[in-house]
Amino acid sequence: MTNKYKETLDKITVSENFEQSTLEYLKDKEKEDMRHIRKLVVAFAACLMVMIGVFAVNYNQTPSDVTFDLRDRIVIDPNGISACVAVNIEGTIVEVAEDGLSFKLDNGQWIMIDDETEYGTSLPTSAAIEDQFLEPTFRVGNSIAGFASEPEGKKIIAYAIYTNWNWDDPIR
Amino acid sequence: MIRTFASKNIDEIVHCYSNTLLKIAYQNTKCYAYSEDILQDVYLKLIKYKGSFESEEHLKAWLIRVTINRCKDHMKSAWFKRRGEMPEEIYLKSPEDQKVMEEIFELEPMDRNIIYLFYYEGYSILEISEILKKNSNTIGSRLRRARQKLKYILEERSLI
Repeated sequence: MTNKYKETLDKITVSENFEQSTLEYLKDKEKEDMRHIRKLVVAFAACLMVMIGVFAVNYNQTPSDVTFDLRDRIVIDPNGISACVAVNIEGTIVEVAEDGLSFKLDNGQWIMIDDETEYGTSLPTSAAIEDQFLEPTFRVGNSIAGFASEPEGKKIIAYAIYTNWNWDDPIR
Repeated sequence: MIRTFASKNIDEIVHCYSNTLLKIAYQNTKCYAYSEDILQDVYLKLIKYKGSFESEEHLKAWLIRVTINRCKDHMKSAWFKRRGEMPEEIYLKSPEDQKVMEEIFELEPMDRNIIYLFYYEGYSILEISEILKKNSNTIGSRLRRARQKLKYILEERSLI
């Protein structure tokens, strides 16, 4: 069996020009690889040059050149809660009722004062009541800051008055 | 600089091993033209190979293994599957040789490789198990079965 098998397989041989064409093919592939490697080296060198350039530019800068002004990023919301008390009544008195217990602000709101309205603040960090900006009466021209639990409506009952002060001619 | 493999340069290797590797590739692919292409790929893989070879035997075993694996890849490739298996190519001129080759092609590809390495190249079962990365018992039983089958086929058709 093996003789016939071997005889048949002996006849399977490479074509005449196989060796030559294979060696040329391998050389071409090697050249192609070399070209590829050369391209990679050039690309790498270019990247290196750019990196060195960027590093050199940054290295020569003094710290003052690279400071940032962050003030532009500060956003102030005038309607937000400020300090440690909530204020939603703010303005200047333009009219005072005859009984002196309600007044009209320059924004058109009428503010009423009742027996429960707090006058001044009594927080641990607050100044003494006599040192706060509070006058004994409401006068036209006084600046008002306060808080109302229901700030909408024609007449608003003040829950607290924190400021009632005439900056030009105050009365203690 | 010319690189050498087990003290042989690539020209010598191509000259020395091409016929052996072609026989293996042809038995696996059943196509002469593909077999030569596969051989070129194997040599390309060799020149890119970073490892070293302890001896010429080691180099030959490596080439055989890579050729068989390359044939397997070829048979598994999407292109080959799409095209479908080609009818066996008539490469051998004598009708008697063609018949023998047809009988060989009736064996499974792995059995063809085992038969070839054992009877033609003279490798032992242990060496074949090393080359094909299979258990030696598996190789032994497959060789026995393939040999019986091939003998039966060849005797039955009065080719030997």
